[in-house]
Amino acid sequence: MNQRVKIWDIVLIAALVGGCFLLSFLPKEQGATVTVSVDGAVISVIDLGRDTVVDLPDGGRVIVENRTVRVQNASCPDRLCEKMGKISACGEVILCVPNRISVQISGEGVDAIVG
Amino acid sequence: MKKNICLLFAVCLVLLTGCSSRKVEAQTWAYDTLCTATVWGGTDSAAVFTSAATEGQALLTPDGAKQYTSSQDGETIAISLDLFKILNQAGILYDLTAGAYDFTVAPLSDLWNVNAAVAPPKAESITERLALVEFDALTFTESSLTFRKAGMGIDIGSVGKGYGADYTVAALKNAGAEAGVISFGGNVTLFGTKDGEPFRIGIRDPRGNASDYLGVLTVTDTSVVTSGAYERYFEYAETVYHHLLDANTGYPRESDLLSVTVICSDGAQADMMSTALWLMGMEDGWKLYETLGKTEGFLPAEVIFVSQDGTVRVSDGIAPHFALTSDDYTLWKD
Repeated sequence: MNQRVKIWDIVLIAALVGGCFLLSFLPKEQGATVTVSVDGAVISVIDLGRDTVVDLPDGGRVIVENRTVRVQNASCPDRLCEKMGKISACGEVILCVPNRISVQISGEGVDAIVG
Repeated sequence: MKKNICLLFAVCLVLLTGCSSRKVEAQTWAYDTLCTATVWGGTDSAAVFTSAATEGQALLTPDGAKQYTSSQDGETIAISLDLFKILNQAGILYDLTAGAYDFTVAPLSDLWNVNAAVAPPKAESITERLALVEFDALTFTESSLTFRKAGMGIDIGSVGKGYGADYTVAALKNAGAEAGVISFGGNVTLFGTKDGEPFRIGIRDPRGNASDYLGVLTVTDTSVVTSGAYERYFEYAETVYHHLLDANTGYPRESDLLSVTVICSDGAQADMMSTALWLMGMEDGWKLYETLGKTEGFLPAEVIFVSQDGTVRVSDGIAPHFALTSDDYTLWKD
């Protein structure tokens, strides 16, 4: 009986691994965006899939690269925003409180399509 | 321990569902197209939406149809103040496009009937109808409109959907709605916010399917209207005939633009502008856009031009809120 359970465990694990492997081949849904705001005002909205650099008024930069986002050259004293490293998932935010900068990844998909 | 997990689970559920007010979805047909609404809050929002969609349509033509055609020389009809405002703007666009954009295009669009046609009309028929298309042959006041000749008409195809979406938004707000996304056949009007954030609106990829978009606009409390020749057309003898007619020639207008999107607080203006700008093409269209920015009677507007060569030109005021998301297009550079 023990033997049986083990076999089914292996089958289950194999199925899960296989499933994940297959899922990774699904095309990534387009449309996730990065919103950069200073003092509450949006200064830029960028496609997460497009490598770009956005200059910040304080001299820092927001770098979008390989579907990840990070802040570089921050001018704030604590440089926490830089130390937060890379974000890549929807809803993740990099905040720079001293300079009132926020960098947020917004959900994939849209509320409506015009055209 | 078990209790704690239950509590945590309950808190998560409240967080997930508790924040935003009740969401209502509704749809109806008006202006020859499917009109959909997603509304947050308000009393009877679905019913308010469907009746306002029909009500708004009846304010533009006497019988609420897409066109109105006069039956005798010098016929006068009663019009709404809203149509009067639209006629004023249409007159300015008629002048600035040298007659290519003409609100009296009805006899021609009726002849072409692009939605159902399989072949273009005969050249003689087009010439005949052209004689009935002339904006300057209209006279109007705040409450009346007179057609010089029998057979002349007005066509609200280039204004109705933008106007209608706006009209339902006003009615929904009156009924206490807090936020909404209203789409009249791809002409979108937005109000309020979703969980404190503006809405994300995809700009349709003219070369892709109906669900493909080339970029995302993050906006609210405005109308977003797109014109292009990629949706309403038919093919005959390997030639494409679309619905955006040049009122000077009587034939579909050639344009180097795939689409023009206008973002403006007034949906009717956005709708008319997008049609007129598309007719003028990338270069002259942009000049017209700049002229309209200095023209009395036109509200401030922002635009997104998508050209045949894949260039996307975005006006300065909206650029920070627009993200290009398709690799098939590139942003225009000075």
